[in-house]
Order: sequence, then structure tokens, then C-alpha cells
Amino acid sequence: MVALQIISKVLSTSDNSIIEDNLLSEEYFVGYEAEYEFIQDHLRQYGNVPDKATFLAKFPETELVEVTESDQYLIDTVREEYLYYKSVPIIQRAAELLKTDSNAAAEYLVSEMKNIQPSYRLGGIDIIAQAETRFEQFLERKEHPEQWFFTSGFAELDELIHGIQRKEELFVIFARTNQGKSWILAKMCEHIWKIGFNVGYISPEMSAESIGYRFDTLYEGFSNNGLVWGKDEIDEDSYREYIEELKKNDHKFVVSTPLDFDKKITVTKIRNWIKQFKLDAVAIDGITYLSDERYKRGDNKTTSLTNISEDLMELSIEMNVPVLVVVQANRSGVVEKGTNDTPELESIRDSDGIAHNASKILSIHQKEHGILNMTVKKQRNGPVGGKLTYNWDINVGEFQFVPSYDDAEAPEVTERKVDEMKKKYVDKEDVF
Amino acid sequence: MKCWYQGVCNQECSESCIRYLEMTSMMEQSGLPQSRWFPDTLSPDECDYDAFCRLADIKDDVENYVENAKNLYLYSDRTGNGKTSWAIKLLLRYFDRVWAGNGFKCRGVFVHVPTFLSESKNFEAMKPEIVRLKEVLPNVDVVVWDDIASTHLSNYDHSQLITFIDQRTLNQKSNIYTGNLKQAGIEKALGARLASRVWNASERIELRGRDKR
Repeated sequence: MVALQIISKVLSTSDNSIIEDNLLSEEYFVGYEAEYEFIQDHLRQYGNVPDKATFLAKFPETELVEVTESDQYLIDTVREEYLYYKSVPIIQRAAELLKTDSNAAAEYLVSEMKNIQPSYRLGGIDIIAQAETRFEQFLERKEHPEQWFFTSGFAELDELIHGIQRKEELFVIFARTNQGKSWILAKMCEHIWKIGFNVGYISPEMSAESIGYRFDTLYEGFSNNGLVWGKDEIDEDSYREYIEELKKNDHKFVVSTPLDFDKKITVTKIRNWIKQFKLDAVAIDGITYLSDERYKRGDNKTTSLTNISEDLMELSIEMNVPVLVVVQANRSGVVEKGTNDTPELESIRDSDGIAHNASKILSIHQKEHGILNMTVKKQRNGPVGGKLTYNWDINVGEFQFVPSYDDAEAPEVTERKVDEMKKKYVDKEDVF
Repeated sequence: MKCWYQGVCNQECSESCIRYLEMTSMMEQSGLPQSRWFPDTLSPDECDYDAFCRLADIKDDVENYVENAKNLYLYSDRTGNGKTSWAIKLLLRYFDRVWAGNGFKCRGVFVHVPTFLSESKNFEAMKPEIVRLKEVLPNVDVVVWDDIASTHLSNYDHSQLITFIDQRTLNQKSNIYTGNLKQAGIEKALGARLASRVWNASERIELRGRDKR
């Protein structure tokens, strides 16, 4: 009834503002969708609300009513009705799920309810009025950069990207398979932990123990093969001593597998996980293992990954944590052997949306065994295209920077680094 | 593999030594057979003393020689007196001079011309190394064209060679040729256009010593 009252009021006053100002869409006019559409079309086409005669010629069956209620009453009532109509199917579906799986039902409810809550006000910040806050934040960034950025563990990379932002950061590491991207992710996480923060690492393919051994390798240089295979080359006493020291730390490096997420990793669950472990940074070793909570029948993988990456960025903003995520490059990302190239953004598998939502993208290519090329393919607040080369000793987890004239640094900086490296080598006589 | 600098370098040997890695990478990309990765010791016959001195001067300044896109034609009507060894020596010295800051790029290649031309015609199953070689030839800093006029060239061979050498000239890149022929012979073997590029556009050094193989 209230929908009819609003339509009647708009027609009798020739004023559409009650609809426009309160963001009432077609969905609010259940049973009167055609009438609503006709009025809006007429307004768009002719610049005015149709008069009653025009309207009734189109809808002779519609009985317009006299409206004496206030606008506020009409708006409150129509919103309440809208919420009801939208909620019913969700509650019913949740009730169905409850019969078999209460976790799934709760998760479904949480993810759906936030989508139907209508937004009655449009957000926005007056950046002029907020100027003072901005200035204060600038001073804080200047004086306490550690509160705004994490260093990445790759000093030369940090010079290009100014580290990892502690919020509003969806940091994508992408490459073809078997190029070392998971190790780079683990290295960044180990570093963030080392500088004193709680890290969460979602490992869809490897157990917590395996990631633990990687951590030990990256942190202390123990041979990874030695640890994983239980070889004699690992000195038991040294490893024991290291473990005892490690246990004294009270900040966490939490590794979770899909089993810890009931085999379904969603952004909502990650949000709870962040709260539960008080995480300062989140790493996901494979975006394709996440489930899209906004999935609708007919959505393809591209849509789902776009939704997921969008939700991860929102999560970063909401929870003040950077989200680091590993993404596969598709076959077009195969890099010509012998070149120093890295995969391009269009090679991100299954979705352009990931590149769209990411704040920084690092493309990786292992040129030959142990020689890693990294290229900054995207960063919202800095230049792109910067290349770096690292010599990576996988067994002891060491990444050694190799200065090269192809680097993105200023030529004089590269020249200095190359000179320094050259000077380290003093030969008694010429070999060639 | 044994490092080139073992015994003369002040650094402790390790598998992550950047110089070792960069040198290995350039050697692997050069197409030089592993047996030629280490320089030969050459001693001149008296008749070659001047030629060796000129080659030593080029070697001492090889970085500028390559950077200035200079070409060298090293020839002799005798075999086994060090043409190829000298060409490789120059290539290896160039690697030794540019390894720092190289970033694992390909900087120089060795092409045994008769083999290259023969493999280039294997259209149905062209070896990946030949495919890659063709990609890098136009732009790599320096190419050693070994035994350039030792076999009869078909029209196809000729077009292959002149295309690559022309591209390199246009791109201002350096070439080191080795061959057995003097001007008249080279014109006959390569044709006037190609011979002009190899003979006229190069600094020419002749070796006259005996076969030392």
C-alpha cells in the first residue's frame, strides 16, 4: 500500500524528490514496478513527472489515493517493507541450511544480510574540512613510518614501493608455476613477523609444519631439505637452541589450512580469523582457493575472482591489515627463456578484476635456476616498471640482490652499487 | 664446475658468488662449447708477433672496442694458428669486463658459421638454440662469426648472413670474423655485398704462423 501512496503523492505534487532524495529504486515498489518505471522514464525523457491523465491512460486499473501522511512516515514504512521482502527468502534459505549445517547457515546469513541492508545516506568526506587531519597523518607518516608501512624484507624493493602499507593494501605477487612466488610471500611474512608483528598465513597447499620449516630456513638459514628430510647436515643442538629462542617470542605467525576454515575459505571467515588472532598482516598463498560469498548462479570464475579481490581490498581497509596474495599467471605469462622479462598484467589467470583491485602488483620470473627477476607492475602511489634481480638460494632461503644496469634505481645509484660489487673482487692477475 | 678465477680471486668460493653466476650465465648464453670456456695460452711464431701485439691491444680495450661497434676480420690461409682461439679470447675478456651489473643478460655469442647455416635450414625441427640465436643475433653486443667463408654459400645462406650482418651494422653492434680468405677470395666466396661488409668494414689482422694443433 505504501508504494501506491508514494506514487500517488509524486503524481499529485508533480514532484519526484521523495523518490530521488531517499534513493528509492524499483525494488521498493513491489507490485508497482511498471508504474514506478513509467514515471521515471517519463521524467528522464520529458523532464517532468507525468500528469494524472497521462498516467491513468497508461494504467487505467491503478486507483490513485489521497495521501495525507508525512514524507517521513512513507519513507520509514517503505524501507521497512523493502527489508521484509528482501529478508524473507534469505531467512528461508538459512532455515533450510540450518537443518543440515548450522555453520553454513550462519555464514550465509552474515554474508547476505549485509548486502540487503539499504544505504539511506550517501557517504563521503569533505577533503577540505578534513585537511588538518590529513596534515597530521602526514606528520605521523614522516615521524613514525613503521606505524604506516611494513618493510618487505627486500630492501631494494622497498626503495621502489616504499614497503607494504598497513592498510588499504592488496599486494599481489604473481608468476607462472614453480617460479618462487610462495617463497617470496613466506619471506615477506617472516620479515613482518621478525620486526614484531602478528602474521596470518593461509596455506591451501602446504601443511603448517611445512610452512614452519620454510620459516626456520628463512629466519635462520637452516637447509630446507635438511629440515624436511631430517638429514644429518642439520646440527641438532643448533636447531634445538634456535627453537628454544624462538619460543620466547610472544607474537604470532599463524598458519591455517583450508581444514581450519571448514574447507571453505571466505572473506568473512578471514575477517573473524584476523580478529581471533589479532593479526597485523594476512597472506594468502593462492587467491583461487577462496570462495566468493557474493556468488550468484551463472557467475563465472572471472566474476568470482573480481568479487573476492574487491572484498579483500575492503577487508584491508576495514581491518587495517595489508592482504598479501599469490596469484597464478596463465600460459600467456610464459616468459621467453633467456630474457629478463616478467609476466604482464594481462597474464593474470582468470581475472582482470584482480589487477584492478590490487594496490600493488609484483611480477616474478625465475630466469634460470636461482636467478629471480621481479618487476613492479602496479602501484597506486608510485612508478611502475621497476626491475630488480635477486640470486635466490632456495635451500637456505637467502635472497641476494644483484645490482644491474637494468634496475629501476637512479643510474648513479646503480653505478655506485655495481662499483662496490666490482671492488669486492680483487684478482692477483688477469685470467682472460 | 671450476671457477675461472679460482686461485687468483680474493673472495671465498661459494655457489652464490655473483661473479661466478654472471660469468656462467654469459657463457651458457654465448653458445660456446664448454670445452672453450677457458682461454687457451697462445704463443706467437715470430712472423705473428706484430699481429699478436695488435690483438693484445684490442683485448686490453675490448669494452670500448665493442661499445664503439668496431669489427675485426682475423684471417689466415693456414689452419690451427690461433684465429678461433683469439676470437674466443676476446669474447671471454669482454665477459670478464662486463659481468658486474650485467643482470644475467646475453652479451656475446659464438657462431660457427657453417654449422649455423646448416642448422638454419632444418625448418621442420629447428633446434631451440638456433631459434634463440636468431633472436639475439641482431642486438647482442658482440658476435664471433667463426669460419665465415669456409663453405660455399647457397642463395639462402647468403640471405641469412647478410640479413643478420646488416641488422647488426644498423644497430651499431660489433663483430669478430674469422676466415681463411683474403679480399679476392672472400669476394668470390661471399659475394661483393657481404664481402664488403666483412672485409672493408673491419680492422683486418692476418696470422701467418704454422699449424700448432
